[in-house]
Amino acid sequence: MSNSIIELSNIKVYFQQHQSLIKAIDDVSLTVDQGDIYGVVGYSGAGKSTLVRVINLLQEPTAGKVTVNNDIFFSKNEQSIQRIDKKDLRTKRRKIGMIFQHFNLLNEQTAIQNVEFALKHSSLNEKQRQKKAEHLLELVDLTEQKNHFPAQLSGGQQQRVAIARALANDPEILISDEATSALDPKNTNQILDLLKSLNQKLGLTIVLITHEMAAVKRIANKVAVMEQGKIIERGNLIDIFTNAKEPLTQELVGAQNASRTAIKLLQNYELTENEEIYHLVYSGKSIQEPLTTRLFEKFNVETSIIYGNVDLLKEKPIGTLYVILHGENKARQQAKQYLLSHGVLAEKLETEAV
Amino acid sequence: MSEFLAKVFPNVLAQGWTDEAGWLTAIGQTFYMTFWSFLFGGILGLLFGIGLVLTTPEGVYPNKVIFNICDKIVSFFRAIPFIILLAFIAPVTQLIVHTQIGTTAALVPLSLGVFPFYARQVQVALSSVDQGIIEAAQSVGATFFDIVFTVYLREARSEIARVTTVTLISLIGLTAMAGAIGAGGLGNTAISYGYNRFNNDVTVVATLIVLILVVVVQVIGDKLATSLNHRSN
Ligand SMILES: Nc1ncnc2c1ncn2[C@@H]1O[C@H](COP(=O)(O)OP(=O)(O)O)[C@@H](O)[C@H]1O
Ligand SMILES: [Mg+2]
Repeated sequence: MSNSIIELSNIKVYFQQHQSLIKAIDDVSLTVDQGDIYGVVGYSGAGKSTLVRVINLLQEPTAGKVTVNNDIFFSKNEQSIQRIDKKDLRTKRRKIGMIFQHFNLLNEQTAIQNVEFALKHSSLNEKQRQKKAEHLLELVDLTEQKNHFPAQLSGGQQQRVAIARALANDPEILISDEATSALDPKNTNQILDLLKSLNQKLGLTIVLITHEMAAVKRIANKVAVMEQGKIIERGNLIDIFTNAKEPLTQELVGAQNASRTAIKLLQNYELTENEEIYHLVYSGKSIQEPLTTRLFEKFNVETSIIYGNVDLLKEKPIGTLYVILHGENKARQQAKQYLLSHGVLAEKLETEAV
Repeated sequence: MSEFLAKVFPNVLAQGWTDEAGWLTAIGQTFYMTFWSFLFGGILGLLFGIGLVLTTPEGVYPNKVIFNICDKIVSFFRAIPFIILLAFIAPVTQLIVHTQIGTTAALVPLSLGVFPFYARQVQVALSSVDQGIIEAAQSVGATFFDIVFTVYLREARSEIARVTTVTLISLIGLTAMAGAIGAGGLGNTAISYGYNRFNNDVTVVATLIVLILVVVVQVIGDKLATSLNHRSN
């Protein structure tokens, strides 16, 4: 509780459209801690945008409770409704920066005017505002383009202006709604790395909405997966990537592809009674250990690699292996325990599944 | 030269310049009517246009009551043909300017005739502002006035210049009809002194002057719309 900065409790957002009721958000709770980069992933229409728009009440929920920085923004249940005062909300919104897929800059204002617009109601005088806007544009490396109109800037540059604008009032939270989805891979990585450095340098808490798992993989520390207005799975980045439970999550992280490939490779292979297929996931220290050699030395268990893959999660390598362990039943059990005790997730694949 | 003119346009010079039927008088009346009714009708239209965009169910300040009232008023006045409005509105004109005929009296129906047209044009122009830009403005704590002025009016200014041009031109057209209530102007010259008296040369010259006016407005309007647009290069 102490270090949670965003708390959404039992949020429902329903839209009445013609005769039907659309449950865009269907009883979702989400807690984001100070300093998190919280990835929210899911396919288009899952409710990601609606959910984050609830955070700064751009979307008022049908029911639920929204708490940001210990301020109750909104609370509604059967008995009562409580809303933050409109003026208060405007002030507090300035502490929640937001960036969007299509940048949403004022087209008839230059880069620096766009940033100054966000500062209009700050306590700074005009000179100070201009200075701060210049400083922010410098932070996103756009000093030279400060007098350009958005149409004169590339997508990546426009998004950086939008980031400067979002940071204008020294927010504690930054909401990024598909901010890299309209950018090419190079600009995408640049923007993601910028967000990452803002998170590290300023302690900015980031909610990162995306349908691209690569973005989450690069900078997030936590992930929630949304489907049809619900969060179906959530957890630490590594857990989600290495140990996804839900089919959709597995699909998003590519686990299904890997196991499908492994299964394909094993189609014509008959396992003997001394053989088992294992799915191994290793990261951190275990990646440096000669584990297969150890298994052989210690338990006389041989390892055949069927399929392998190494991924980078926040610049840390994560390895996935599908192997056949050959050895006595007891030795195989010992080998499994040994792997687990060395930080390797080892899961037996049932032969029927193969 | 003047001999030639006298031959081709025998009645044009006979109209004189500053008499009641003179050319400068007529041009002055057209300017007078266009300017003032554009000012009143324009302000009214702008207010209604903004009101409609803000209060629509998808707007920033949805309000069914205000939206419906604005919408009904605009639709009502748009539905009345101008020439009928001239007569229909006479009692109101009497109330406001204490006369029912003449150039000043024409300002009331002209303003009321042009405002619904402009309101709809403004509504369309403002609706062209991307919803995402408005949302981004709200996310940095924009106030009502920020949204109206810095977002809607500023972002749509090129579109507004364009629709204002269209409105101004159609208003020049409306002033021609105001002759029906003795408001004078170039339209009146063309009809009363030209057409009705078989002075075709007067009709032609009056029409030419209106045409020049329209072209000038169009050219300036287009230039303005282009120079105010930074959306695309
Ligand atoms: N204002 C609205 N009115 C009606 N339906 C909406 C509205 N906003 C969103 N929705 C619906 O809610 C669902 C979730 O939308 P959204 O949050 O935009 O999903 P995502 O961002 O994950 O693509 C969709 O089915 C969408 O059509
Ligand atoms: Mg979305």
